[in-house]
Amino acid sequence: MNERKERINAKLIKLGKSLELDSLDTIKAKRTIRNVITMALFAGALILLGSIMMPGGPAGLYYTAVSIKDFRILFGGLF
Amino acid sequence: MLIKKYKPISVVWETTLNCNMNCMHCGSSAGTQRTKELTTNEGLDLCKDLNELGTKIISLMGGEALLRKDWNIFANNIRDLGMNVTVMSNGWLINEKTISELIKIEPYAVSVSIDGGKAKTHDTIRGLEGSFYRCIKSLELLIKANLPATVITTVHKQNFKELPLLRDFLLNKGIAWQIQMANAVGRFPKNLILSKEEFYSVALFIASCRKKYSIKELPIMGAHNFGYHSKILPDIMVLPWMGCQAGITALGIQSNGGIKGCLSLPDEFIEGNILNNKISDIWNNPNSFSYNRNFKKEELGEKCKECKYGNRCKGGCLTVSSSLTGKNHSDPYCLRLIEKEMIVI
Repeated sequence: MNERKERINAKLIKLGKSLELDSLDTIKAKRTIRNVITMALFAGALILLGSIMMPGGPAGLYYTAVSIKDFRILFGGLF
Repeated sequence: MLIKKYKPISVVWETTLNCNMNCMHCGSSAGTQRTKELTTNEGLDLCKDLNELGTKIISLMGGEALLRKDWNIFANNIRDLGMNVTVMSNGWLINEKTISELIKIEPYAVSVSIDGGKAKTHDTIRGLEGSFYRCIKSLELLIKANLPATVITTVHKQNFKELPLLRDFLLNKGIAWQIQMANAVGRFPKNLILSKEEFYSVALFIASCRKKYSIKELPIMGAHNFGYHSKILPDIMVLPWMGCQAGITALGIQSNGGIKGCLSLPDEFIEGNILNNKISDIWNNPNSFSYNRNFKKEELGEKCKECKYGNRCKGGCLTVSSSLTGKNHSDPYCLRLIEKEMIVI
């Protein structure tokens, strides 16, 4: 398990170097349990809205140039 | 029984193919306008029809959208109808006069394309000397006017290594940053497409920026061809990938009235023309946008068929898939697939 994890980390560090990422930043970029749960909740909400509103739900709203307003709406608490 | 109708909630409208730049990655090979581009009145009728269909946001795009003398008439009309409007520009024509128009319009976003961290790289890609500094000036004007500015960067082999330079420039400026991959459509040479490793490096870069900086410091995201369902990286799009939305909630309109589910799709995907049929007839035709509306898991490419997310994902970006493999629903630039092939050995 650890060997596999090390192999993944080594590959990521190599890939990150081409864009000047140091090894610490690269390893920190990996997903966390929190990321997984947050996105699962978002996906669940989209599926639910899609099933009661219209096919696709509001997914298409973010299908064009992103706006700073999108970040404020979706991640408002972080501003 | 509740009948759920498809709604084109997000529309990208190529108001003209006329362009003052000559970008090497342009998916629509823009330069000169199409024959029989929509007139002002036809454009205004289109906005009204889209509003009746349930559209929430219309993005005015080109070519260069600001080259149309009536761009502000369309933008004001869209806003007056209660929809959001986004203006997508190459930045060359954004000046004090444009800014005062934009302030009245209250756009949802104004995007400016920047394709390099160095002036020389950007100008070479855009085919117009001085365009990098015009973009910078445009962004300064937008920020000064408190308008919602976005930078869109299209990455390929000639510019992806300059992303750190661009990041340093955009830090703490309150500018949203969208990174997208150049596709093998239009006049973009196939040999300049990112390799899968380079593509993964860019995804890693976006993920790292999102972890290292707060949303306030650097609101960065990958466009919808930067997915999908990675086992290692967090989601780098704004929302989780719910499958290609072309013809589901998204719609693209060409300047001559041609209708596609997504403007980036090649012309084989044109469903009709609003000069021949009403847009509601094209949109509500049960045979339209069949590739997505009647999608079945069996249509997935070989590698996508094995994926547990296949049904929802529909094989990634249709434009990348069709342009690189000649088949729908089998986008080879998938983070999960790349991890399987190259990382999780």
